[in-house]
Amino acid sequence: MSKIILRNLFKNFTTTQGELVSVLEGINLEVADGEFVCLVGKSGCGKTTLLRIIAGLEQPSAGEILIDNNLVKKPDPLIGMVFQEDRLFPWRTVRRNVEFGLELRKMAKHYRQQAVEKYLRLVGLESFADALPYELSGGMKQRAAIARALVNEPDVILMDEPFGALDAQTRNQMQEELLEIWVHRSRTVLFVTHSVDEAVMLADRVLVLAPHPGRIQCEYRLSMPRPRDRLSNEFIKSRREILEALNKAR
Amino acid sequence: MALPTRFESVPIGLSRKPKFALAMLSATGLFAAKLSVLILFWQGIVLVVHSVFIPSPVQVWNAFWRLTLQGDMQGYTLFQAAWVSLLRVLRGFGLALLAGIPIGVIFGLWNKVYTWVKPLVEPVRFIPPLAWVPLVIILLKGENRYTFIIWIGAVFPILITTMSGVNALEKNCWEVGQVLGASRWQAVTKLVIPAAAPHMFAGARLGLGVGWACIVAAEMIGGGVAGLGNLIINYGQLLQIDAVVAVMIVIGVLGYLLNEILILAEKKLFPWRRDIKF
Repeated sequence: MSKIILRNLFKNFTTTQGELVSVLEGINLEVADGEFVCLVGKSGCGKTTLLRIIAGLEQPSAGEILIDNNLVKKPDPLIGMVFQEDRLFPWRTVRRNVEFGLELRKMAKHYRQQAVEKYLRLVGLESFADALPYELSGGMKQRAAIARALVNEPDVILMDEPFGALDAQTRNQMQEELLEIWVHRSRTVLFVTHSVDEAVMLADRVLVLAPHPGRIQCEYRLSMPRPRDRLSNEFIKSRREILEALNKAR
Repeated sequence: MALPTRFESVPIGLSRKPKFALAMLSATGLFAAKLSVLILFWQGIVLVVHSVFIPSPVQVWNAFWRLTLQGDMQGYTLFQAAWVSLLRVLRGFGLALLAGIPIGVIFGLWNKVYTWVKPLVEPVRFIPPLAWVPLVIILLKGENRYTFIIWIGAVFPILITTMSGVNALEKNCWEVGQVLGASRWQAVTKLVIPAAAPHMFAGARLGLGVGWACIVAAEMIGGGVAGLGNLIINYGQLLQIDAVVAVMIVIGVLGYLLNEILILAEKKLFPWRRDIKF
């Protein structure tokens, strides 16, 4: 059974000039439970909008989103989201940032602390628990943000170019760490990126989005075992194929 | 040959203390230099103008000690007057916080409420506290008169900064709250208020400053005993300008110290705000 089902999703915006712009047009998608799906596309192809609609932060103009056969209408703690910016609360320490979701659910302090410790260890921030966000590097901030999303133990994790602002080395390292977390917890991940390399590194399936209006152009299944070798022939071949498809998508 | 090694074995940690003392000393020296320039300038004016209504620094200094040691015509010392005035200001200021912060939060959260009452509330903001004096004399009694004048001076800076602070939370952070399942109440108490807190505090600091500056206007009304404002009015009527200037300086310096204390508290309370300077 599919975890996420998108049925005939449309999204239109009205510009300030009163023009109607179609951002997403007839998106149909099924994501299996535990699947890691990457969405790639040029900027402006509506991939962020698509993710925000699935998160319940925006309403579609038409169509519906089902997660576990339940209609998504508003944000739900069981759908986690990691944004491109870390979006940490500047007044809270790393620990208190990660704790936030549990605090909202009024979990007892004792359990809260245990869970926070667990996820801080998972992202390697246990020794920075009491630091304030401004004291962290970009990669550490994004790790904290990931821990904050994971601590709620969501079934579905939406990631909107979470490593987009990081340098190449940190980025590769974060990809490996993310895969490790994903392998151990087998959550369903929908990951938006503009980097084909990142998509081939991470995904079970890569969807190529075409812009104006945003629609799914084609999809690729990647069966390479993980961890993947960026320099292997298969990796390079998949990368080339997807890049070509991306360049043709218009 | 043992001498140099003995010098070398002096712990490095010790060298910090003399450095700190030196820094304090040079800061004090600099302040003394600035003050001397001011006093010399003042003395110069006194010599040039040569009027009985312009007291010299020495006269003011003497008046200050007279007020401190012997007290005023009613026998209240300067310290007692300052204490009484401080308590009055704190009372008015406390009530201004109690009113300004909740109302500011309500106005900030429900902009419709603010737009609705704006034409009624905003003009009141521009009525100087001094203009309230006659009405207050008729309507209120005793200490309440002082409290009201200080309250009306302090409440608007607090209200306005709280209101704008409520909108300080970035949409980005609000969305994180939504995604993690915050109810509206939780979003307000756990996100909006903490993000607004530094603004509220800055408003409080402004409000306390205005409230303190209203002390003379408030005590002009009469109705209570002692107070720095009382001193200014009483000695002003006697044309004893040296005492008036001495009390003016005391009001200025105490206001400055109050502000400095709040700035220190601000830095302690909001370590995540690295941009607090002023």
